Amino acid sequence: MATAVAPQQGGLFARPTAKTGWWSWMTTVDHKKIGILYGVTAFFFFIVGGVEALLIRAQLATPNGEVLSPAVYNQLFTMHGLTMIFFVVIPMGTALMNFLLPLMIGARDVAFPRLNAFSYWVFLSAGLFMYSAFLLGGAPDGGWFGYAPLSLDPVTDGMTYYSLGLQIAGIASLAGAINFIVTIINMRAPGMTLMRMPVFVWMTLITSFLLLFAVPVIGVALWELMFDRLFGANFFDPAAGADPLLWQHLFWLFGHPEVYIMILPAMGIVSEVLPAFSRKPLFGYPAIVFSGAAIAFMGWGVWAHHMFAAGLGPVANSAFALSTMFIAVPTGVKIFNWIGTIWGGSVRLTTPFLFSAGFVSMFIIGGLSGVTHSIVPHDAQQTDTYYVVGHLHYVLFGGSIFGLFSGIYYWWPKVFGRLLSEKIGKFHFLLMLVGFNLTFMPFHILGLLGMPRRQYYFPANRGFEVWNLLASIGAFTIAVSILVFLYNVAVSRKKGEAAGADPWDARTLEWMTTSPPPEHNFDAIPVVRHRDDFWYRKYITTPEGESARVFAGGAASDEEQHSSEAASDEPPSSSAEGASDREPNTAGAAPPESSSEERPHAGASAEEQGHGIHLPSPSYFPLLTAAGMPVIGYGFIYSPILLAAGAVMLLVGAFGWVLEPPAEEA
Amino acid sequence: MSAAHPPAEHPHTSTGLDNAKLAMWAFLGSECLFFGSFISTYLLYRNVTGDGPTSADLYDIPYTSISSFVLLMSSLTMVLALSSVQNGDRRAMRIWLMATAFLGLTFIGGQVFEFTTFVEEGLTLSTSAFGSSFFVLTGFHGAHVTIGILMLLGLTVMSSFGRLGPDDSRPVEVVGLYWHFVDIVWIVIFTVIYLIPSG
Amino acid sequence: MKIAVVLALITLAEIAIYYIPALASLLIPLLVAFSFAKFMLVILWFMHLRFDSRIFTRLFAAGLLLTLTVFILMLLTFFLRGGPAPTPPGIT
Repeated sequence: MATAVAPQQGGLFARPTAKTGWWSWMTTVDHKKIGILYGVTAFFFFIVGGVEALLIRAQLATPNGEVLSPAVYNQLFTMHGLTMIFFVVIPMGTALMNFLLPLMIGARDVAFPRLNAFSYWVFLSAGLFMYSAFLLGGAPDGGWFGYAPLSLDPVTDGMTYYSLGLQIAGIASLAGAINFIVTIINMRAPGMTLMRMPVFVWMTLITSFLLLFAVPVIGVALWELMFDRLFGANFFDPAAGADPLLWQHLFWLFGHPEVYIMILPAMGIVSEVLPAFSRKPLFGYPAIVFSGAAIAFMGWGVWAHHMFAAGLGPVANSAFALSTMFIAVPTGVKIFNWIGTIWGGSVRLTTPFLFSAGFVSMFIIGGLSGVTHSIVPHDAQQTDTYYVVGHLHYVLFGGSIFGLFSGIYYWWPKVFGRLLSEKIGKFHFLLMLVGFNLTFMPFHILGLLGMPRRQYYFPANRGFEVWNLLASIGAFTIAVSILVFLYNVAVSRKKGEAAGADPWDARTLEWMTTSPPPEHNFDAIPVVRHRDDFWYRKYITTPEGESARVFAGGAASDEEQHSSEAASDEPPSSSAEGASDREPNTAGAAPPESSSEERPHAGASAEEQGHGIHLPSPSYFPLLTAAGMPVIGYGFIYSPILLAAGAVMLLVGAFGWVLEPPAEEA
Repeated sequence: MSAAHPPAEHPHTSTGLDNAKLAMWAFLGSECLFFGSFISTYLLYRNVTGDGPTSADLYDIPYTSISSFVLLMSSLTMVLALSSVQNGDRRAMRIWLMATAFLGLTFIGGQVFEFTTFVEEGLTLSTSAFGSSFFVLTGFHGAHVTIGILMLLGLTVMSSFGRLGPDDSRPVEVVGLYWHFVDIVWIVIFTVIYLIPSG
Repeated sequence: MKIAVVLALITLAEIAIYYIPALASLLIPLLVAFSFAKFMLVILWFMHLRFDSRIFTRLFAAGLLLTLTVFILMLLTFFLRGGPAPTPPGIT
């Protein structure tokens, strides 16, 4: 098998070898480093998007505000929405998925490490491309959902940047989604059956499927917009007989699954954090998993509820109103499961737990205001008012961002090896919770009073002043809470308490390895016998039904003893499969990451208990290939020469990618 | 074509399936929605011709049938390329790969000629919504074929670097899946766009 | 190889019925049926779905069925309104 090609040392396609420093980050294919890159970049964009929000709130703090001009205001609210959705919430979820997914399923890396690096660099270049529009004549200013024919307005290139920038971001999401799907289906440790996977892994899988199927739809809409804007096509221009409603359909066909793409990872995080700090298994694991899948599935049948005011007609409106009401059911199932998890547990009120509790409570409010939108006449009142803005921030900030912060506090010690301060963390939580409600609760009232969204000012004496001022004060409170978080990070970096492998007495596999994990994740790939396997390695259930600590060294025999007991809550077939089929693979067999894509000639004999594990070498080509994308983007706008240059970068990158020698020979 | 694949040489995955192949099938599932969106756009706009020519004025069924047939046959040569490499005959594989690429190129040439004719008859991207949706749908299909041709050439280069033996035929299989998919998309386009009359 | 011959014959038949006036009323159902047959032949034999893991079939079928469902729904909403962009009175 290894005779097919002579090892190529050095030469044209030599792979980089730096393990530390600048180049190691540029060429890394390690899922943990890429996860950190994702996280830092997304947090940077979080600050940028937050500053944009503060400018908006400064403008709207008083009637007839004069902080921003109307044109700048339009760019800021558009970029705030795009940034927070495409460059903060999604990539922050991706950051955690990247870091945790292989650890949680007991793998050494994702299925396609170089594709993973490619996803990151494409995502980064998409963000930089979008923001470069500020310097090149004006950022997108047509709202994050870019309705035609407003988006066809030719005054600035802003919406052209929108069409190309989101297209590039979509490529990153698509590549990441495929990578995660293959990783979860194919790279699980022996015994890690699907129904033993942590819920966060399940939600990653479901989110990835949503991205897989939703991204191409927005891709087509964006291509059509680009052809309209740059090449005089007539997809959305009513003057040429086209129907702008097509844009709305295609956008929301993507846009509604997108909502679940943003919330499901947070739901996964909460489903990990609550059991860990309640010292109880997740209540109703199968119900949580299947309701997640049900949400994803039904999420494809509700898109037109964003278009109730567009004149679809009573039949379509009623059908989509019904489906929208139904989708609240699986969401409610999850809420009850989380409450059931906390119920009767020995709860520790740590910062991650508090953020998760914040998620559940804020998400209930956002979910309920969402249900009010499903009633068509009610929605006709609320469309394009601040009520909608209030609702979406309750689910995206109160939901996703609180969930993500819960995950950040929970896994921070695993990623960096040091704990964040609990004291400062709780202060951060409190400030953010107060600031959040102070900002967005008044939005509901403003909306019901009739204040339209996206107006760059509001007139005096309409009863809007108090609520707007409160919201602006709240926004700056949130900003202070983020500063508190940054201070917490700084303190932790300097003198944070060392975390150890398992600071929270947690349940899942990532806590088995050191903090931060070694490059190869696990010295020996764990063999999984239970859901929450790590817990059962630490604790046995006494005959009285209580948990008792297993001491080091006694684990193996205890596991034997208790495998039959724990198997009773599994379907018999899966546990039999896990126990008999998978175990023989572990001893001395090739590690799961020896995929044909990355390592066609991987030898099977090299791996023995952590020694001689071959990890994929770093590579220049993901970066090069990704860098071609924005160049092509500029080429579409400015010059065919750039277009050709970008295409050449893409081609050279792709061919280098294919032809560079496999990892172990570099 | 038969099921006589040698057992996978990289069975060390949870399902025993090859990663790259799984990724390609997931990607093809995603591509269904991509082309579905374009085809739906076309179906919505096929009668929105404004003052420009209609599909009945333009379509030349015998001509497009021939280019469809060429693409269909390129799927056959792709199958033959895969079975050659699995039987260890790299030279035959390279010949069939080049044949596939040549048939693909013929198809693209046919499409370029068709586009030129349509433009001469007065249908451009900006004539009408029908024109926009026709050119962009078939154009994106053509772009997929072009990418496929590049991948076929890439395989040929890899083969001359000494890769792609009978033990290492996955890349050929995966590119083959992509190529067949582009072919079935054209089967749908040919029927829905060309053959079913509008009106 | 046999599959390729069948595919070629189906294509010939498609073009033939396009020119037979007697079949005009049956044209669309026949064409859809033929096209479906070709589609299935290629994915089942050329792409080996018939012989390969069910997981591949499921992945692809998920995308295909989702495509059919959502886009038929979408076009249906346009159909219910009477086609694309019915110009409201008073606007030209």
